[in-house]
Amino acid sequence: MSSNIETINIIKEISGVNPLRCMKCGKCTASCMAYDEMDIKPHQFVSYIERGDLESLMLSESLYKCLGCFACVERCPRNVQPGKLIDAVRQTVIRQRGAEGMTTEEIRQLITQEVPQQLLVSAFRRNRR
Amino acid sequence: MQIGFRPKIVAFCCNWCSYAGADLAGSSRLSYPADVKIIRVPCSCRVNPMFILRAFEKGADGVIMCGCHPGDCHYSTGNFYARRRMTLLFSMLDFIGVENGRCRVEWVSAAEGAKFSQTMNEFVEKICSLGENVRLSNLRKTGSQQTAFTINTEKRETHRLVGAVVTDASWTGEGSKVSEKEENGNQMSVVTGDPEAGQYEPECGSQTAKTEESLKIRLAQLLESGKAARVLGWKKGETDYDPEPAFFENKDELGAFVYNDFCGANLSKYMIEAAGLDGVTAVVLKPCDTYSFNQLMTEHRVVREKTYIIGVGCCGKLSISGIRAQGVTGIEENGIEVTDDRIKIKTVYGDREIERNSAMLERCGVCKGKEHRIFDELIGESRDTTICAGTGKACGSAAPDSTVSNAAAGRENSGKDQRFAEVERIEKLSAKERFEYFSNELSRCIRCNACRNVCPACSCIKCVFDGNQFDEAAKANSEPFEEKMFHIIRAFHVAGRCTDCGECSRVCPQNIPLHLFNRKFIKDINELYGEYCAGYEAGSVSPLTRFTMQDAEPSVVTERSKGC
Amino acid sequence: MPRIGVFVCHCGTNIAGTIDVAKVAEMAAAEQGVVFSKDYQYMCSQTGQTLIIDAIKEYKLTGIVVCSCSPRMHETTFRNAAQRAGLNPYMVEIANIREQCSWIHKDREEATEKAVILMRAAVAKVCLNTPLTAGESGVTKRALVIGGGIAGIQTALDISAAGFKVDIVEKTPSIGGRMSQLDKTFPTLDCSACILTPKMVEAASDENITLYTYSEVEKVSGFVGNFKVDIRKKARSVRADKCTGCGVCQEKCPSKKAPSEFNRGLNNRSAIYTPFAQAIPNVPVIDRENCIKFQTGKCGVCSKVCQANAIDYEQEDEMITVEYGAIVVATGFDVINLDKYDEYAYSKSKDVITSLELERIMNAAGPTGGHLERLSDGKAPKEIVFIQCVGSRCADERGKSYCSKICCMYTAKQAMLIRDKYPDTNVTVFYIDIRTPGKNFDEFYRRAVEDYNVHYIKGQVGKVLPESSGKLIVVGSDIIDARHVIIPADMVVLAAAIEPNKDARKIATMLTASIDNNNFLTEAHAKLRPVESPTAGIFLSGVCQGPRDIPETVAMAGSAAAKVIGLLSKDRLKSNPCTAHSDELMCNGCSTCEKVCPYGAISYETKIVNDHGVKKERRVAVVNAALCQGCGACTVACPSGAMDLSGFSNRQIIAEVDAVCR
Repeated sequence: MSSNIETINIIKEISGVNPLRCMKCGKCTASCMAYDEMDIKPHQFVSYIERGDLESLMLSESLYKCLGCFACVERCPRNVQPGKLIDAVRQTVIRQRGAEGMTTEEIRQLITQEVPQQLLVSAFRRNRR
Repeated sequence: MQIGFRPKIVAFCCNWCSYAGADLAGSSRLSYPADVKIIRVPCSCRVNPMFILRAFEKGADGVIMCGCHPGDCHYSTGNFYARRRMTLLFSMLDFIGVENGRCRVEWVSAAEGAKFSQTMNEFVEKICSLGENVRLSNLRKTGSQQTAFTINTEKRETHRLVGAVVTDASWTGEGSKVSEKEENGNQMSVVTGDPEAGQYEPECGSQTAKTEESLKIRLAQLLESGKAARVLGWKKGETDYDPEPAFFENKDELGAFVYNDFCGANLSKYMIEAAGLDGVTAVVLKPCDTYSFNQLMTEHRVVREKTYIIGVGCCGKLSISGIRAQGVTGIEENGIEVTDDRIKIKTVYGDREIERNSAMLERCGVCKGKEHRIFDELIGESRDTTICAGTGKACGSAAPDSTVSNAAAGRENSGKDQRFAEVERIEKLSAKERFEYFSNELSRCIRCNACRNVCPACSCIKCVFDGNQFDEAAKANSEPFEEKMFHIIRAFHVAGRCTDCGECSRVCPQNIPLHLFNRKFIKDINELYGEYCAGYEAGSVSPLTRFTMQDAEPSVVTERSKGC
Repeated sequence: MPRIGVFVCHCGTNIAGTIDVAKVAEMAAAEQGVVFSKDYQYMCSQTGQTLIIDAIKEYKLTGIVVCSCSPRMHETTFRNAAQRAGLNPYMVEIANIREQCSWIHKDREEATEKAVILMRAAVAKVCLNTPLTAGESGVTKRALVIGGGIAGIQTALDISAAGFKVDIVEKTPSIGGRMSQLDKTFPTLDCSACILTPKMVEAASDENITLYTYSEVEKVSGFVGNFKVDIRKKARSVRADKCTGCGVCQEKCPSKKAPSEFNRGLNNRSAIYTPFAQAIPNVPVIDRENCIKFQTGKCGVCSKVCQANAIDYEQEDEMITVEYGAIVVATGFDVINLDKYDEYAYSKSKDVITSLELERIMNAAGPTGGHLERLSDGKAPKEIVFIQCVGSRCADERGKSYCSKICCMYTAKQAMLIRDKYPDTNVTVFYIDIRTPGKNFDEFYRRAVEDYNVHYIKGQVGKVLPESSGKLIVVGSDIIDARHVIIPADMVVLAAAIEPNKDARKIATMLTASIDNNNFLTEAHAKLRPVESPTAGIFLSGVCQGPRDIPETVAMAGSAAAKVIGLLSKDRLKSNPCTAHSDELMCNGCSTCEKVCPYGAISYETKIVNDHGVKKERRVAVVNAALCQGCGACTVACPSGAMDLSGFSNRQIIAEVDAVCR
C-alpha cells in the first residue's frame, strides 16, 4: 500500500492535479467525446485518486480510450484537469512495463490520410513534455 | 357566435396586483375589447359570490375575477379564501347548467400587463362564442313558461326505490357511544350515565310507541326533579302525521308529547331560542339532529351547559307526502299503523298497505349513521335505514345480525354512494338538460321561506335577504335578483356548515329537491378539500374558512366537465 | 339627496384624443344625483384642482367623481383637493378612463361609450360613499423583545440605541441563547463566547434595556402601539439585589444530579445553578425539583454558605403588567428529537451525538474541558463520521420538510476544527447537497475539503451499527462512484434538523400572529415585509421566522429594530379608515369571520343589543380598526351580511355592478 501512496504522489506531481479541488460537478465527463468507450469516467479518475484506488485505474480501459483532446482540462471550473491525471496514470503504466514511447520522427512516418488529426495533435502534445 | 353581439363583461380586480396589471396593460397600450369594465376591490377575497350572481342577473354575459397570484396576496391569505369560494361557486353554476366559461378566475400580477390584456382578449372571445347569457336571467320561468308538476313525480321515482324490503336488522351502537363533552361528568359518560335513566331498557325494532312511553316517563322525571326547566320535543298536531316541535314546561303538557314515525323535524334549531331562556332545556334529538346541534355549538348559537340532550333512537322517518304520492288519500284519523316493513293505512276508500321504505324520507335512505354525535343519555333503539344502490334493499338486510361495524361497512359501499347518486346523475346530464331540470324545479318556488325557516344553518338573526346590505333600498320579495338567486345564495351561505339534515326538502311545499344544492357543495368539498362533515364534532373548522397552498384552481370546474 | 360633481379630464390628448370628453361630461349631467359636470384639460394641475375646489364650494357638492387616470396615480391628489374644499376626502371616486379606456381602445365611439359607463359606475358608488375619518391612537414608547438570544439581544440594543426603552423577557435564567452554547462560529472561526459575551454585558448595562430573565410572557392584550403584557417572573429563590455571584452556593450544593441544560444533558449541574460561567445576570436560581431543601425540607446548605444572605426559599412568582408599543418575537430554535431516527443508533450509543452536543464537547468550558473524546470510554476518536440532513428535507413525519440551512456550514466548521486540532483523526462527511450561500461560505467549505482533507461523500448513511468493540459501523453509499461505503467509526455526529422553539405556537397564539405548519411565525410578505408579522405591531427576529445563521440573524434583528423604531417614533398612529365593521343587529356571533381574518382584528363581545326597542344579550363581532387592514375576507365569510367594509361596502359594489350592467 505504501508504494501505492508513493505512486499516487508521483502521479499527482507529474499531472499537477490536486484531486481535492474537485467539486464533483461532472463537467469533465460531460465534455468527454470518448465517454461511451470509457469504463472509468474522467470524474471518477479524480475520486479514485483521491481515495487511493490506483489498481483499478491502472487496469482501466479508459487509459487507451482517452483521445487526449483535453476538453476536460479546458472546461473544468475548478482547474482540476482530469485529462492530465489520465495521462499521468497512463504514463505510470508505461513506465512500469517499459518505454514504448515514440520519437517525433516515428510519428512523422505514421502520418497518413487515415490517421485522425486529433490523434497526431495529441501525440505531439504529450511528447512535448 | 351571434353577429354583432357585444357582450357585457364585468371584471373584478384586486387593487394591489390585477388593477395595477390592468393599468400596466393601459400604459403599455396593450388593447383588449371595450366590453370589459373593471370594478376595483381591495382584494379578491372581497368579491362576494352575490356580486357575481348579481352581475349575471343584471345582464352581464361574463364575469372574470382577477387577483394576486396565490402566495403573493397583499393581505397574505385573501386569495386563498377567494380561490375556494370561487371554485365552489363556479362548480354550482356549472351544476345548474350555466355554460362553462361564463365566469373565470385569473391571477394577474402588477407586472403582467401583457397577461391581463391577453386574458381579457381570450375571455371576450370565449363569451362571444357562448353568446348572450340567457340562462341565468331565465333561471326562473314565468307564467306560461312553467312546466307542470309532472317533473315532481319523476323526481320521486328516482329518489325512492319502491319495493324495498327491510328485515329487522336492529343494531345498537352502545359500544361506540362515547361522550362528546366531559365537563358534565357522570351524566354523559355512558349510554345511561344518569342513574335514574338506568331503568329504561332500549326498546326493540320499530316499536316506536314504547320508545315514546319511555321518553314521556323520563321527560316527566326530568321536569319534576328540576333537572330541566323545560322539554323541547314534538307535540301532536292535527293528525298523527304532522307532529310539530314544541316546548313542554310541566307534566300535564307532556300529555301531548309524541314520538312516532313522522317526527322528522330537527329540533336543534329551536335550541337557539332555548339558549336565551333561563335554566336547562332537555331536548330530544335523533342521531342526525345531533350533527346540527354540534354545528350550532361551533357557531356559538346554543349553550351546551343549558342543554340536556336525550338521544333518541331512530328507525327512519316517514313522509306523508311520500305516502300520498302513492295515491293514498282520505286517510282516517289514527288510521296509520307502521310495522317494521309495512305501512297499513285506513282510508275512507278502504284499507291500503304500502312498503315502509317507499314512504321514508329521502335522507333516511342515505342516513349518515345512527350514532348520536353528542348526548347526555340515550333512549330507544335505532336501525340502519340506508338503502342499497341498485337492489333497493335495506343495507341491514345483507347481514341480519349485523354489528355496528358491519352496518357502518354496509353504509360505506351503499348508503354513502347512494347519498350522492342523484347529484352524480344530474352531473352526467348535458348543461342544457341540467339547466332545464333546475329551471323547472326552481320555477315552482313560491318564496315561502319554509326552507330558510326550518334550516338549522340558516339561523341568522337577520337574513341577508331581509336586510338592505345588498341593495339600495329595502326591497319587496319580488325583487328579481332575490327571486332567481335565492336558493344558490342560500346554499352558498350554508356551504361548509350544512349537515345535510335534509329539512329544506322535507318542508318544501312545492317538493323542490333543495337538498341537492347542499349535497353538491358537500360533494365538491369532499372531493376538492378532503372529507368534511359539518357537525361531526363541535368546533371543527369549515373548509371555507381554511385553505391549503395547493388548492385546486377554479378552472378545475371547466377541466372536469371536459373529461365528461 | 347627494349632490355630485363630475370632472372629466382631457389629460392633454391622452384621454381627449380617443374619448369625446365633452360628451362624457354631458352624459354625466343627466345622471341621477349629478348637479355639476365639467371637462378640463388637466384636472391634476393647479388650475384643475382649483376648478374642483370652487365647484365643491359653489354647488355645495357632497361627493365628486373625477374621470381621469388611474386612482393609483392621482386619487390622493384629488382627495387632498376635496379636503381643502371642506369635503371629506373619502367622498371622492375616480373613474379610470385613461389606463383602462383611452389608452387601450382606438375606436372613439366605443371608448366614449365605455368611459360613460365607467363614469356612471363611479357616480353610483360615490352616491353611497360615507365620510370616513382615519382613526388615531397613541403609542407607548416602549418595546418588548421575547427571547434573549443573539436575535433578541441585538434587536434590543438597536432599539435602545435610538433612545427607546426596551425589555427582554427570557425564559431561562440567563440571556445568551443558543449562540452561548456554540464553540466557534463560521466562517471566521471566532470564539462564540468572545463575540457574544460583550453584547450580553452591553445589554445588561444599557440603561434603556430591562432584562427579565427566568420570566415568561403570560398574556398579551391590546393592539399596535398599545399592547398590555403580563409577565411572570418565576421565583429564583435567590434575591438578585443581594447576590454577589460568588458561586460558593453552587460549589457547596450537595445535589448535583440534575442534567445540565446548557451542556445538553452531557453532564450534571447542582440544584442551585447558573447555566454557565458568563451568565447574565450572574445570579443563580434554585431548581426546586432537584433541590433537597424543597423536596425534603432538610439541607439549606446554600443558605448557610451564602455570605450575602441572598437565598430566599420563600420567594414566589411575581406577576407584572407592562405596556408596550411594539413586540418583537425572537424565540429561536431547538434541535429536533432524534428518537425516530433509530437507524443512526442515537439512543443506543453514547458516541453517536448531535452537532450541538459536539459543540459542547469541543468547548473548553464544556463537559470534557474541550478535549475531543468519546463519551462512552473517554478515548480519543480516530475515525469520525458526520451525517448531514438528519431530519431536514424529509417528506415523512419523522423530520421536517425544510432545509435547516445552517448544518452544511457548521459541519464543515466542526470537521475542519477537528482536523486542525487532531490531524491524525480521519473525518468523513456524508451529504445530500452542500448548500453554502453566503459571503465566504463556499470558500470556507472548500477549505475543509482541500486544505484540511475532510472526505466529503455524496450519499447518505443507511445504518449505524454499534459493535461490542466500541466501533460504530457506518454503512453508507457513495452515489458518485456508485459504491457501498463501510466505515468503522469511533464517533458519529448527526446534523439534526432545527425546529422553532416549543413555545413559538403558544406565543404566536397570544399575539394573534400567524404561524405556519412548521411552527415558524409567518412574515407579512415573503419578499417585501420579511420582518413584520401580518399582525400590526408584531415583529420577527431570528430563527422564529425560519432557519438562518448568526450573521443573518443579526441583520434581521437590526431590521426588526428599525421597524420598531419607526413605529415608536410616531406620536399618533393613523389607521386606514377603509376597515371592516359589524352591524351588531345582524351579527350572529358565529365566529366565522374571525377565522379568515389574517390580522386577528376580530374579537367577540357579549353585549346588550337594542334591537328595535328589544334589549337582548348577544355575542357580537367587534373589529379593532387599528388592526384591520381592510381586505374584506370577513365580509364574504359572514353569512348574514353583518360584516361590511367601509369604502368598498356591499351596497357600493352592487351599485357599481348594476351601473356597469345597465
